[in-house]
Amino acid sequence: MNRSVLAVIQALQQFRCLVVKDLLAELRLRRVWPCMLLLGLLLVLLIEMQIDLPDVAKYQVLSGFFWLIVFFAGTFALERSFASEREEGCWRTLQLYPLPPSVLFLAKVTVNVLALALLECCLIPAFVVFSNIPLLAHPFCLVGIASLANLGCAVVGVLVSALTASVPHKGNLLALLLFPLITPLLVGAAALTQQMLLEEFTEEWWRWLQVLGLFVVLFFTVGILVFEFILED
Amino acid sequence: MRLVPRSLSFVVHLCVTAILVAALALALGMLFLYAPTEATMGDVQRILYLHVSVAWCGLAASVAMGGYGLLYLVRRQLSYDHWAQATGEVSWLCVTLTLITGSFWAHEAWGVWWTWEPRLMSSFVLWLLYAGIFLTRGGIDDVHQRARTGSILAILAVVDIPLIVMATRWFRGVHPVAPRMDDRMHLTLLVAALSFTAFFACCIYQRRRQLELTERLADLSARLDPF
Repeated sequence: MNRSVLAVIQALQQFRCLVVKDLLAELRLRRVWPCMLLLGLLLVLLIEMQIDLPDVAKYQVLSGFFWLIVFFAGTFALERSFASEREEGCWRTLQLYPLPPSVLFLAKVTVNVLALALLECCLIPAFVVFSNIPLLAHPFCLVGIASLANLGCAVVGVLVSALTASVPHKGNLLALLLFPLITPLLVGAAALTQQMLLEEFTEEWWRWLQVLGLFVVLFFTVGILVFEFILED
Repeated sequence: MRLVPRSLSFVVHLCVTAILVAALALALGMLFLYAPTEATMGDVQRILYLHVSVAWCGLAASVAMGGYGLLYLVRRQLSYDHWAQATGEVSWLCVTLTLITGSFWAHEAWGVWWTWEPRLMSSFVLWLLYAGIFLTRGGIDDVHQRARTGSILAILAVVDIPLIVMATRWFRGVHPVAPRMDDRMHLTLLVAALSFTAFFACCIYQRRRQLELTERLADLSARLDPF
């Protein structure tokens, strides 16, 4: 078999092992995802309690809050992506393993995309029930927006998490760096959701979708290129 | 032996300072005396010459910061990190000035201090991001780890810039992209932009020199007292 094909197969196997390792660890220990889901639900409840607006105004406000809650609760999973590896002594083993940095990056992004998707699966019904907004009226549009938003947040989150995990006395540096970076993503996802709720699929809707797509492509490319430098100790 | 280069350096610095002061004085003179008063906004429009100049310097310094960050990652020389930090700090200062001057201009032009406009939002995001980068850098003691982390964050910040530049064109916000101007206005803007670019370039150079000297001093202190 061709050497490059073998390398791709090996990379895919490594990728699968890393994703399964993180998912199994989370399923067995349940340390991050339950906290993330509970925080998300708590934020939904607290925000819903404060809002009593007519439909159009409610769509405008809640579409922004929805993504803010998703990304904020998602920082739980993102923050633990590399911190848990370092705390449990897995980091050195990972560094010794002959693994291309891009495979590790892709595996971490995949796990975090899954975490954010799970969070959205819980928060969307909660939003629909509590605030009576038709989030599921256009399910394919919502899946499209959520896919781009999750991917963008996970890509930037993994990069920043890997950077801040090695910083001593890091405090809340992840949120401090992550939120300015993902602001275009947050605003874009909120605008898309708002227009989807109002059923206004105009040219502007497609432009915001392009912004989200460009954001994902730019940061994904940069992530693949710089991740090798982030892993140095 | 040392007196000659020192005195030469002093003369060079004096000349550069004199040229910079003259250039800034010329720019300010043209801004207030030569450029015609704008018909609708009046004298407040003169903020535009400052605003555009500092915005340009901030943008150029941001790109330079990313460039030096990339150079550090490739060559691993701390001098590139000093350049990156100096350009980053000056860029942050310029973005701060852009936001302040832009806010004054917006208050007169649109009647509000702040408006939900993609370019304004992106500039503020960049400002926050630089603040975050400096805080992160400040928390790391090891010089090479600090340089590496700062370089990667600088590259990520530079990736944000195309969104800033393209934002107004995509969304046709209320921010003027290229308003029609009189020839004298164009000339004033050009002189102001060049003067401020030279001034901030000098600031970057001096800050880089200060960082290098601080590093050398720390190195000497460590050699004299290793424990």
